[in-house]
Amino acid sequence: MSTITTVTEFWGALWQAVGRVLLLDATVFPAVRATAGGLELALCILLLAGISQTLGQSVTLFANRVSRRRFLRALVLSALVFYVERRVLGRRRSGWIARLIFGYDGPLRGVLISVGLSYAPLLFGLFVFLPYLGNPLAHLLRIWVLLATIVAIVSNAGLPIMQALVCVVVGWIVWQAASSYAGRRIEQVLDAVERRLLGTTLSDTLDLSSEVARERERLRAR
Amino acid sequence: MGWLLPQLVTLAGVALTAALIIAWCSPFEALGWWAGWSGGLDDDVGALPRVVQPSTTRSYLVYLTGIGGFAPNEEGYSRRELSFFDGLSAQLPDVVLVHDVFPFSVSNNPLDGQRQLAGLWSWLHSRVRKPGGALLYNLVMTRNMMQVAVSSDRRYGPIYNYGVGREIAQSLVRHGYRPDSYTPVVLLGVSGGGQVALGAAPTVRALLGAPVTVISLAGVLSDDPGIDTIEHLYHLQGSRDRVPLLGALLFPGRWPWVGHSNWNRAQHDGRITLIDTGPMTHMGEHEYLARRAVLPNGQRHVDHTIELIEKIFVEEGLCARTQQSAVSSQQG
Repeated sequence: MSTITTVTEFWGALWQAVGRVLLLDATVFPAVRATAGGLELALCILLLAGISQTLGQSVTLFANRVSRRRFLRALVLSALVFYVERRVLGRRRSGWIARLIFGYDGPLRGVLISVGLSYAPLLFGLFVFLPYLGNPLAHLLRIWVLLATIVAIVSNAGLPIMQALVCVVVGWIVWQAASSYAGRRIEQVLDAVERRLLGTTLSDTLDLSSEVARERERLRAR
Repeated sequence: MGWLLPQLVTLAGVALTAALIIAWCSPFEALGWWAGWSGGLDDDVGALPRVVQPSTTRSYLVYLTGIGGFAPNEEGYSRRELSFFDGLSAQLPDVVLVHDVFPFSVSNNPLDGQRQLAGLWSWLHSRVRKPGGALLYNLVMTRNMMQVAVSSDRRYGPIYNYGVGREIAQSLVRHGYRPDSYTPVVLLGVSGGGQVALGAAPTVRALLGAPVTVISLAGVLSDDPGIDTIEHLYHLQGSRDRVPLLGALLFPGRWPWVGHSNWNRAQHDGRITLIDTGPMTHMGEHEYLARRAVLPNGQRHVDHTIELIEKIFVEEGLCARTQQSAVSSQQG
């Protein structure tokens, strides 16, 4: 097992791994698994992907008129939520499904590394902020992550591609069901954290009506 | 020649990177304004004196410049545009012409206004007629083009278009428009200004209670929801101008097979009229406002463009002239 000893080595290994994941190179997954510090490397990619993704979708923060200081807090909070969600709850589902349906019994550390790496395409998430191109790019990145996840499962569990695809699809359905069941409670917790950190709860929709009404009055009063 | 290729690749790389940075930063002006980071929302609407218009005023025409625009004033407009304004005012004496709104800023902040890169934009503008200046001015056009992309983006468009619409409404009030008077408002947008006109129309309508018509002069138009709130869209395009076709190509809502898009619905309902202006180009010596270029019938391009706009005003009853008087004046 190779070992990463310096920060420079860590970043070098990280960008090399990212490049190979982006090319959907299946050999990168066992290589990182066989590296001491591979888990940290994969989780670092996941965290950076979370920050990039959050930056790309920061229009919600602006629409909610958060101040600059709270904007930074919200970025950190959203990136952490992304990280924790994927690390603790999210993609481990594919590992469980691989165990339940296909009898795979490998270590979950391997699953976590593979899945952390497979989020590497979201390092480009900040480009979702681009006007016009942002939306199609977001779809492209989702597909890229999906493909990388399939390659990761094939590599980690040694499953055929179709079975890996089933894992991902069933995992997605389970996640949607779990989200809708537990969603309200999770949302309440996140709302409370948002209120605490940002002083407001973020809304996904932009409401211009009160602003329009105020401006109408100003123009008429003139 | 082998040495040239790496240089060109480097140059293309630098240009692409610059375009990417400009594109990525482009939504910040509108979003920062909305979030209150630049304090723009508390502008005083009464900052300028209000003009009282004569009772004969039939409608208001707001001019929104194209992506080459720099500032909505004498220094910022080209000589062709200033001459165009004179021609419009002469032909439409009972229409109030408003041209002090900069469509590529959410707070009507011109490129030489209070902004961090004002020095750069001013320098580029001052060099536009010097050797190499036109090439460098592409930076200004890229910057403005990205604001058009912001206007047409469903995530940023509502904020951006609200901001520009609000500035148009404030300018109209300064020029004597009385809210809820139902006096018609016409937004005339050139090139990228056409998209901004379409996007801002719902706000103008909501703030002033005004019926809004949009005239797009070679506009690059998206499938903007604003099209559902306007009276009519007139799209003027020259037969030698391919630039407006970008809108039809880049925005899926304008593809004919996307059945229930705002654009296709409006077209089906007859709320869009396409007008061929003749062999005019998007830019250069043969563009729509050119004073030297003439059509095969000898008419100057700018005069023909004004004539077509006047015809729209006459047909829509937006000016006092009737179709008969317009015809007789042309014959005379």
